[in-house]
Amino acid sequence: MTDAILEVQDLVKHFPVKLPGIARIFWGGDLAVHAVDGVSFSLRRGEIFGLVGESGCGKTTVGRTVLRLVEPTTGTIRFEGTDITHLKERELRPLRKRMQIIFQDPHASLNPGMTIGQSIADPLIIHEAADEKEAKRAALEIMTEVGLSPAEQMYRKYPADLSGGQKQRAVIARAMILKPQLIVADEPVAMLDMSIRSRVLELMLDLKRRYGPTYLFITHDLATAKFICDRIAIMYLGRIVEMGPSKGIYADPKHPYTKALLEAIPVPDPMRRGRKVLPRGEVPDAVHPPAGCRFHPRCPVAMPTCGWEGRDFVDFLELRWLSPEIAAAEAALGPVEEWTTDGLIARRRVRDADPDALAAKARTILGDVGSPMTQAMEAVTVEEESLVVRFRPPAPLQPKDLEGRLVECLLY
Amino acid sequence: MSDTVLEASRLRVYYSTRRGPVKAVDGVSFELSRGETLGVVGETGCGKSTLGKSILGILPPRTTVEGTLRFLGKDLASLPREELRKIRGKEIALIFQDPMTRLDPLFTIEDHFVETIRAHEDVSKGEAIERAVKALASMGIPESRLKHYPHEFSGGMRQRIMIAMSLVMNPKLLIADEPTTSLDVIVEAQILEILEDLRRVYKMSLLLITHNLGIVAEVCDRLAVMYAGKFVELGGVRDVFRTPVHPYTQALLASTIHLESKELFSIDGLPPDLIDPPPACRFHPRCTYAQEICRTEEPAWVEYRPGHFAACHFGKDFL
Repeated sequence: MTDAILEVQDLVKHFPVKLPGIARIFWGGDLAVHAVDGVSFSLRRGEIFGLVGESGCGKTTVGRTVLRLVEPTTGTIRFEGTDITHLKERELRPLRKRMQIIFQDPHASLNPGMTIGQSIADPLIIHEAADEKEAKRAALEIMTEVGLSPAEQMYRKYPADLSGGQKQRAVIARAMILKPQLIVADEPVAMLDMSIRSRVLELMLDLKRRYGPTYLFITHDLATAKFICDRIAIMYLGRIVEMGPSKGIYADPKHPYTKALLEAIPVPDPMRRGRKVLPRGEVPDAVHPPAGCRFHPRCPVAMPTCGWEGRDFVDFLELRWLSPEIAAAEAALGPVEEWTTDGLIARRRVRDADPDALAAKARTILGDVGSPMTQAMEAVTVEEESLVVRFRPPAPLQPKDLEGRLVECLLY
Repeated sequence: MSDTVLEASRLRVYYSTRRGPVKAVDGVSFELSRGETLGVVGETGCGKSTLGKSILGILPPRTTVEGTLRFLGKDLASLPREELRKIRGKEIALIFQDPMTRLDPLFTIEDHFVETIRAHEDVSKGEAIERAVKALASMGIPESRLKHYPHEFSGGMRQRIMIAMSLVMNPKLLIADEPTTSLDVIVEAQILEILEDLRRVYKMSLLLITHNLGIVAEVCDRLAVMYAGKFVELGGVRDVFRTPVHPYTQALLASTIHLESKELFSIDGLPPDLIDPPPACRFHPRCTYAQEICRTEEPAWVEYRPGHFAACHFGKDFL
């Protein structure tokens, strides 16, 4: 028996992309957004666990899936030892009292037609945990605790009368009134002004000291996560790339993506300006995540084994206007538009040129570039009137135990 | 010739509402030199975006604007409409927080560029496209994407397109209103580097409006701290970050959560209602140092060290 309150095993969530008929034939079936692609973690009772990553990394989907607000595609979710992955809504109901969620946008989280007090008391009534009189008494009590005072007066106000910070307090009060064991807090301070953020975070810490809930704290802000999380998991394109105690991760980040995120945060100290080493480009499309390590196309320390494939080759040719060498390569290998890709292969039809001479030339040019991508090429050949660039399959990637944390990177 | 690109003097912008005028900008003065980056920092509703819009003259109708705004010595308010139109978008460019809402979804990127360039210059379509290609390339966007529509780009790409579009006219002044707020932290850092390079290479002046003190520390030469429609402090970034004079600046710096924060700090109370702001020093209801004089007398704008100004009765105590 562990003291884990929440255990998530190999969680996968794919959102289907609806395509018109003709496109479906072209792609061979419907496509899916790989929002979460095999994520495992567990929350110990009473800790604050941070799920950190950029938009589109799947952190919000994980948060909603563990509460079964979104149905998982595969994987298991155990809450307080019970497998809740396939529980029916009726069976989930009694458990729902014990898990609550706080959303990012406090303006959209409160019913504008209900008074603040009614909204906060509502969970007690819905779960038949109290009659109206008791519910009101409990609401007034929790409102005082979260700093919505004078509570009697605030009880009668409507969301429109409150500031953003006050609304977020009301949302927290509503989540806390059932004294839940688990609270999923999805970017609870992202929409608040700096001067108010700290107060809301302090309130969450204060409530934890008093009632001991476990928080799953979802954020894009590594600085906030550092401040309040005991352990964190860094997500990138549906995968956890690094997970462990916050202290260690901030003191000595292992994964190149974690390093990049930390490096990118603006430092409020003008004495410490400097050029940053930033990853190229942006997070790729989650419909077709990159092979191997999903960070490899942007990784500053990528190796030939990290998952290079046909698309990376085409993306490389696309960079021609940035470097004369690449422009020369593109001029020799043919315009980017004529290349097609399929997994590990990129190909271009050649008609007029001497294919073998072209292949030889291509090998020389690509050999000269000397990037991890070109080193990952297995062969440049001519097959059926096409110039074909073929990559070696990536080395298998597994999360590895490293100094008390998990890191998913071939460097280690 | 003076090096001042923009000069605002006792600028006031009042929005008219049923409850009375909203004093969004209430007596703001500053200068911006060639090639300089000035950060304007403040919280939601402090008037910083209004300040940016007033420079371009894109405020809603029935808004009262008082004071003077001089651009390269010319009083913007006294210019004829036609001349103002020539300056706007050509010599003064603006980039917004959310690029998606500023690009027309029905037009390709090429259309956007051609229209922007031809609105200001009498050039052929081909020449306009050629310039668009160059501008986009400098932002790392390939020519092959000219025919694409705004929705086909990521948030960071759209912001690069917006920057490229404002730069294609080679403006003297760029106003950037929260240019990276809707972007992820890595893309934000990329965009900030682009802005920094542009300033260095083209000697462009930049007015950077933001709530993020980290960004100010990384890219600005000077900063102005705005509270409830007024500047409360103005100075070189190093001076202001090292010895903030105004208690609001101090509080804002302390409440910024960064990787080395040792404790959480927040400012009590709420920002004031700009229809009926507190008298005298507007920060006094939330200020831990407030005395009687702060409630009755408006603090003077004092220069504490060369180029470092603040408006606080007790400014000397914090030096």
